[in-house]
Amino acid sequence: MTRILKKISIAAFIVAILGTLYYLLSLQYPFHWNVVPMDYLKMYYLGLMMTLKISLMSIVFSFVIGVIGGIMKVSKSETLRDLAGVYVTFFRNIPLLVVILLVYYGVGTIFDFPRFWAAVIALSTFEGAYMIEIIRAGIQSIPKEQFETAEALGLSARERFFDIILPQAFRNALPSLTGQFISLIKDSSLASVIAINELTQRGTQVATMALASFESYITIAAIYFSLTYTLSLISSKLERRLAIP
Amino acid sequence: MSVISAKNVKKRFGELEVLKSVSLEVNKGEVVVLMGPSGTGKSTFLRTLNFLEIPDEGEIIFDDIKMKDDAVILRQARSRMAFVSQSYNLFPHMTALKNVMYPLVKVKKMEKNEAKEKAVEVLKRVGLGDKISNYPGQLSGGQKQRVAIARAIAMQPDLILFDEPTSALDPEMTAEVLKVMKELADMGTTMIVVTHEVNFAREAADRIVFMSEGIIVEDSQPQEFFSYPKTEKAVKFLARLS
Repeated sequence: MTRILKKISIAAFIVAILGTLYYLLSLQYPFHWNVVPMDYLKMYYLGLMMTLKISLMSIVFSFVIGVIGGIMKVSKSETLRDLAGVYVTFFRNIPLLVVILLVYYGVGTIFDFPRFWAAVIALSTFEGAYMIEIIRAGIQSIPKEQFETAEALGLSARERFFDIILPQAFRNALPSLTGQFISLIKDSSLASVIAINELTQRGTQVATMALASFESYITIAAIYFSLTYTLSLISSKLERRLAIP
Repeated sequence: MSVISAKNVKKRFGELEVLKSVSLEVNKGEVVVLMGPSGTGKSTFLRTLNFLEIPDEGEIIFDDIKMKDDAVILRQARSRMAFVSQSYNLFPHMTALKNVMYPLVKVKKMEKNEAKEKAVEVLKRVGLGDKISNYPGQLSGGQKQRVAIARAIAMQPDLILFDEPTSALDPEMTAEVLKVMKELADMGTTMIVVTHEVNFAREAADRIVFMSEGIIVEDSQPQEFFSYPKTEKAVKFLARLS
């Protein structure tokens, strides 16, 4: 109980600071909350849907990249390990914004795919690099006796991996994975630079149309927060449900 | 008839020669206890028998199988040669029942219902009939080892290898695990046990194999080994144990 009280008081403190800032700003800037977001709800709704679409697809693809790359990273073959290693190093040392621009203007020009796919490809490949490291760490967190016991029982390599190692690795990796999913959702806002009509882009459009930037950006901040915070709540519930007694 | 026979098995880890030509033959129904100071290659030798460690030289013949590093051969051999190690034997994400059932279904290709019946039966036999739906995390160390033993006997193996099965347990739990092992020995199970438990060795073993510095130094009956050790090394080892 005291822990919840503590959390509430910290939250209250932060709200107080933000409230003060808001008050100071309102002395110089006339807020028109009745216009934004109220008159533009459809815009935000469309933006949110696009953000969800891009994020969900990228989560799926980056997770697949993560599992494949993570397995490669712990494989016996040096070539596979190095291949995954180079991939991770490459994407972890380039800013996502640059990856998005390169995919859109570079690869997108060669293969001529719509900007939506450029965003999904850029996000998936970039976040995939982080997923690889998370899955690798998850697999390596399993004691080596588990691999041995499974081997000594006469289980095939496939059974060992999919029935014994992966379920345990996945549980251990779950908190970091959700953290990465949340990052991905927030990072998807960068897709606005290639004029994808996702939440941030819509927010900017409303800000310009209604001449109400603060109202609009505060609105999208609130939407992002509710989205990612809900996800982290769901995730901790899932963690508790999947926890091994 | 010999269940397993190892001939001139050698193994080195880098510079360290752990096994310097070890040969051993174990007959059906025999209980062999491997003893010796730590770091003399007992565990390594045991692990070469089921190819968890692949020997550098020598050959291992189990039943009619000549062991080699080949997935099909190893799967076949291991399905009839159980292994119980020190700890982390059980899969933490499976209940006790599932831990026993799983290899029966996957490796022995048993029907699910049949596997379940068998699993319940062996878990009862090791005194854990009331714990079948517990996860390993909800069991004591001794109970976990008994589940591991239950899983081993459910496979109806021709040979069970025990690698210091009680060394991670406190005395009370050690006793409950040794009791189950003693029962197995009395039932005529062929086993090779690496252990420091003198009482178990005295009561359950048919042969004591004493290893030192990567070779077998003595191979005799328990009474003879404990009362009249032939070598200086065994005398020293026994003096330190008591």
